[in-house]
Amino acid sequence: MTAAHIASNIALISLALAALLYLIEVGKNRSRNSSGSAALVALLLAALAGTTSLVLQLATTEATALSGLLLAVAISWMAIVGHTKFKLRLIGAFVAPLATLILLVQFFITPGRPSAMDDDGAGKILLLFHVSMAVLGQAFGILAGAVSIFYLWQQKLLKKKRLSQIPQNLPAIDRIDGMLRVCLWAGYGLITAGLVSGAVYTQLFAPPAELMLSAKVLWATVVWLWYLTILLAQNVFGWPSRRVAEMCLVGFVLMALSYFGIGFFRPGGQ
Amino acid sequence: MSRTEPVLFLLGANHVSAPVELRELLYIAPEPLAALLPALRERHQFRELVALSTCNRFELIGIAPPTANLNALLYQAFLDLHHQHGVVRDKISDEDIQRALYLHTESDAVRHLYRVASSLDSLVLGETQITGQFKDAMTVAATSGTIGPTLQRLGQEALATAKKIRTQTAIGKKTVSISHAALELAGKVFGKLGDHSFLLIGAGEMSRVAAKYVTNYNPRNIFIANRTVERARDLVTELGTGEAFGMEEIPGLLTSADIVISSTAAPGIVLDAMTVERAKSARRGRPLILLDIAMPRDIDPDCGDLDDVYLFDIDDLQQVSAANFEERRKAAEEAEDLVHRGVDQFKNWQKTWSVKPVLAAFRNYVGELIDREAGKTLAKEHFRDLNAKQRESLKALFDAIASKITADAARQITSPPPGFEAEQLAQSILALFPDTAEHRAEPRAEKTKDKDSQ
Repeated sequence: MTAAHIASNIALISLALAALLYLIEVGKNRSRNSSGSAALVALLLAALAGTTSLVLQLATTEATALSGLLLAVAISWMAIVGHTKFKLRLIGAFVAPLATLILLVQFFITPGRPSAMDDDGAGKILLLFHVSMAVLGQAFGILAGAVSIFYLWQQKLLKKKRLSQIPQNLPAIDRIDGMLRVCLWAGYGLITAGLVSGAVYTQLFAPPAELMLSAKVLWATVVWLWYLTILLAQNVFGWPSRRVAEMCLVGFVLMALSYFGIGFFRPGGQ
Repeated sequence: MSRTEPVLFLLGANHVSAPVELRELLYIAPEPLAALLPALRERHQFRELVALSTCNRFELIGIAPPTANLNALLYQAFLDLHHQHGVVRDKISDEDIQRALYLHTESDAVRHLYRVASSLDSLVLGETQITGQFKDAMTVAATSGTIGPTLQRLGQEALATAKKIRTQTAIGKKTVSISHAALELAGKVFGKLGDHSFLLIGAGEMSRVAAKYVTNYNPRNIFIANRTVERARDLVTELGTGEAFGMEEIPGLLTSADIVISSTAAPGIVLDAMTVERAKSARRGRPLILLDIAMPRDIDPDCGDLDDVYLFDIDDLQQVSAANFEERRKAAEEAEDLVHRGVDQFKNWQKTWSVKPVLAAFRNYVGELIDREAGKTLAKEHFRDLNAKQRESLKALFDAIASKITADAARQITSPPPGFEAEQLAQSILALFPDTAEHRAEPRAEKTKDKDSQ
């Protein structure tokens, strides 16, 4: 077992632990408590271990699938920022279990599946750029889904005037709304960059068999169009934030279908 | 409940017993209240009557005549008052009103009133507005001539206890007004209130208090809209910041303001759902908080159903108040002790007040007895040689003896020794000196009563 594998395993165990601690945090509904701090530490450890594994794999060109690990690491770091900077302390409760699932799927369903890392110099760089953009775009999409859940939850409690039930460990709803907007714009921009770079890569470097419009590309385009619709609805037609949040949840489902349904279960796909 | 004596009562509904929709109907402004109270007192033969009408409570405090069915009399009086005021039966049934009412008598009524005046029964524990509203209620009753010595004394004592509680317990240091609670509520929607613009509708006392809290957050803008723009300008000058507008400019202001606090004295809706709906499209999904701290409510309740609009009325402040309750619980416990002591003092006063006519009559009786007997004695043969000075000296001696006897009796009765009650001792006087009863209506007794009622 290489150092990269050990680091990946540490990331997986830490993520599972963080998921458990965050779920305890949700149950307790307090602004600060020991399980909340421990959950953040576990998530931080997972993000550090995952990042180390990524760096080692890229440095040694080990033939492993990177997108799952990259996605898990990206959403972990985003959750840490959400927790510490934006006081969205419960974001980890959504992100940590999902990141754990992503890593588990990668470990058990596609173990050691080779990536297209044996291209020549320019192709490799473009591929890395494409994968990074697409995965980070997905990460923001996931985050938008998580933030939407918190938005809808808090919005419902405020509308129903159940003020005492609003968790202390959630920021004010306009801050959540602001985060949602950031996630949407960032996710949309990154997915766009991923799609464009993927198209360029396919044209220049992909074997002729992959020039056809694959299911993966089709799904990615559907997801991109969906997020474009959300942004138009929000910024051009002035749709209410509640509806935008609901659309983000649908976007998250589309993305999950795209990622798990096609990325992993289609032979040779990633 | 059958009574043979007049009863001190308190009948009302508050934020705990009645929802805001009902309290809105029960609210009566000072002017119509001053007009309605004398007729109500006359119709139901109340000896004294005061009404406390605020956004959170409507309470009738009075002294009811002896009656076989006190509850029925009081409920009927309460309903009569509101029917006279125009609460029509198709809006709410008498049964619904009755269900929301609570009735306290004698010491319980006194205790409740002390707690109300001290803000211990307020929606926002420790808020200061109620004390002013309580004073206003006493003024209204005085203007309408329905207050008498007992309720006047009760009001004074309640306010004195409220002052004591504010100065001697921590509740005064932790005072939170309704406006403050409203802003705390706004913080649930907007994390940093200072990054947003405020629109205050109304330029009255409530708006003034709210505006002062708002300025503490250094908001981006403060817009003050009022029916009379001049009053809005005065408030802007007082605050040293903000802009004044007329009510007609509210629709335009709604596109840039994020937090609206409305507290006008308007009898109906000031901000309707249609206006807010129209402003929403220009807001592009930015949340809008509407805080309605007026009574009757200023903002159409349908606004709460609009997306990105969060409407809170004074009932919702109760939840904010509850969250802060633990912090003030200790102070409130101390305050309850002071209320308890205050109630005991009033009870003692009430007891001595009730025996005052007997004491006055006894004083008259003894005075007359001494005068009569002294007259007879001095008319006898062997006193005829006394000069005027000697006669005056003897008369002064007799008066001094009379005063000494009645003063000692009065002292013992008003501060009875352990095991005795003032009423019981007063009855003993009447039993031992039955002629005392005949002197009750003497002018000297009335004079004493007047003096005591000051």
